[in-house]
Amino acid sequence: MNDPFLNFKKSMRKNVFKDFSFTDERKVRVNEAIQAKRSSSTLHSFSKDTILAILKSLQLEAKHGFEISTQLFQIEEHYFLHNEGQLYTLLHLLENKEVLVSMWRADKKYYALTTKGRKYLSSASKKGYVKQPYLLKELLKEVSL
Amino acid sequence: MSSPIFNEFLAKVISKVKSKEAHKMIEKELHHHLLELSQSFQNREDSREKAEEKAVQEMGNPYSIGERLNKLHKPRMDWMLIIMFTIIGAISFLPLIGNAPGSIFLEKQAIWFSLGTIVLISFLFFDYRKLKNWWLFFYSSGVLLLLYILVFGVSAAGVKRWVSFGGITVDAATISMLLFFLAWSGIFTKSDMFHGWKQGLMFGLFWIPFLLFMILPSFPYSIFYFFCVLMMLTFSHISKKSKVIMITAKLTTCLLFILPILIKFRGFLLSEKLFSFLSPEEYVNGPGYMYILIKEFLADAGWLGNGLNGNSAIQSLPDAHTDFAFPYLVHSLGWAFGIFLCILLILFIWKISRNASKTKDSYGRLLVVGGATLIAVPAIWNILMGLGFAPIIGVSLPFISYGGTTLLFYSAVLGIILSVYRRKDIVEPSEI
Repeated sequence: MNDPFLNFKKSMRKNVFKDFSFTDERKVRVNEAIQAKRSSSTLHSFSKDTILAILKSLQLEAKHGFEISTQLFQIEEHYFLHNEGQLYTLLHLLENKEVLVSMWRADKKYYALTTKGRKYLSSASKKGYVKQPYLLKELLKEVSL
Repeated sequence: MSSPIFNEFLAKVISKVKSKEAHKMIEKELHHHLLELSQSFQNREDSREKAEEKAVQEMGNPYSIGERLNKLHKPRMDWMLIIMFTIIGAISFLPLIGNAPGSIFLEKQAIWFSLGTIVLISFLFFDYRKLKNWWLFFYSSGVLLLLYILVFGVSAAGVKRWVSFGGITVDAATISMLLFFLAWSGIFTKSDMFHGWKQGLMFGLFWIPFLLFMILPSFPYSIFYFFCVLMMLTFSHISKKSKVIMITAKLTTCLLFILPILIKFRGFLLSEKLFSFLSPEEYVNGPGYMYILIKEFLADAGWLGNGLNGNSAIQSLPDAHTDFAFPYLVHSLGWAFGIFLCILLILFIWKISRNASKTKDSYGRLLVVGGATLIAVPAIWNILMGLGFAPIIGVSLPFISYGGTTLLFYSAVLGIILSVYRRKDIVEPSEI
């Protein structure tokens, strides 16, 4: 049997796609775009653990973005792996919600917890209470808007 | 300095963020992260180029970062304040209906109000930070303007406030008030102004406009100026020690010198005005008359009032469209409306003060604090005066009393406040 499509792919590459190039970088970008589309529903809202990890990392002292991200990796919170820029969208969002407050020191932006932020943190570490004004679940709802 | 590969990444992020004012801040923060990342890769024996490339890859898709940041950094509009401004503006037409001055004033007020809206919008879109370093210009032109009024000003009802430019009369005292407000908010952001001998200089600079306002004589403006600067001083970032010194020095000077001078030299008129407020019956034939007149009108008001055109008795109330707009409205539309108006004004001022606590930029905060004082003090005084609880001196009700320049003045102040709110999340917070 002689399949007419046997050498189709090969000959297409030789003739039609001769001048096309598909670099590795391009491949990565396309893959990323597909991934992003697939997980768009989850990517729109940050997870509760991620927010909690950020609040915890700021419990003792003010930190800048890079310090927060290294600490997140240390405690194996990998939400921002290969996507570290998104950390800043979350930080700015938490700042808008007055959970964090920021200040510039020596050209670096430091983040610290506000009283509201501390309340969220303490209500998250307590267990059992259902009715509390500062539940991370509620914050997540606001954040996903 | 910065590598091209970083710049390319940052440019991609920024291209999605519409608010230009936020660009610098975002670039700075992300650039710092990129630097740290590439540094940590270099420590693991990567070449510099390789490390930078890796750092950019670790950041993820610049466009989706930019899109999200864009949503977060949209310029803010305080719609509540705008709505309240519109309602208050609509109320400002009421004292002119059925009032003695006639319908020409309605048309005039419509023109002034549209001008005020234009002023408000232009200040709103103006970047207030550009005003910060102009304090010397504002201050000196304010003083020059007051001196000009003293020499060439037009007198009305014993007060020199107006200046005539080719047929158009402008309330120059109000304009100079705006200039001093802008000047002091600029001065208080420079904490080095309050060390050593300069502290004395600031003290002098504080009193010059106050005394000039007194000489006009415009007693209310001196008071507004005093409170406005004092409030800004209280909320400024200068050291606590010099703050306490300045505030106590100002208050004691005010009590020790200004008040006795005032009562002695301004003579009968002022002291009589002040005392007649405490016991108006003793001064029935003098300044006490107004208090009694107002009391009668208020007693007639009832919950729903007498209607805007119903009663001709109220026509005997002088200045019903300016200083006594409040009792006029209560008499005509009733106490229910009066209480509504009070609540509206309180909410308005409260909303402005909330804005002050939300902005991180110290200059912006001072502008909002000073502006709130400039609106709150006359509003409270005017209402108390209209109820007979405060001495009657020429204080108009912000936004409601008829008066072209004053309306433009308050629109400008409100525009500046909204401009600060608009940029509250964008402005780089000052270092602490």
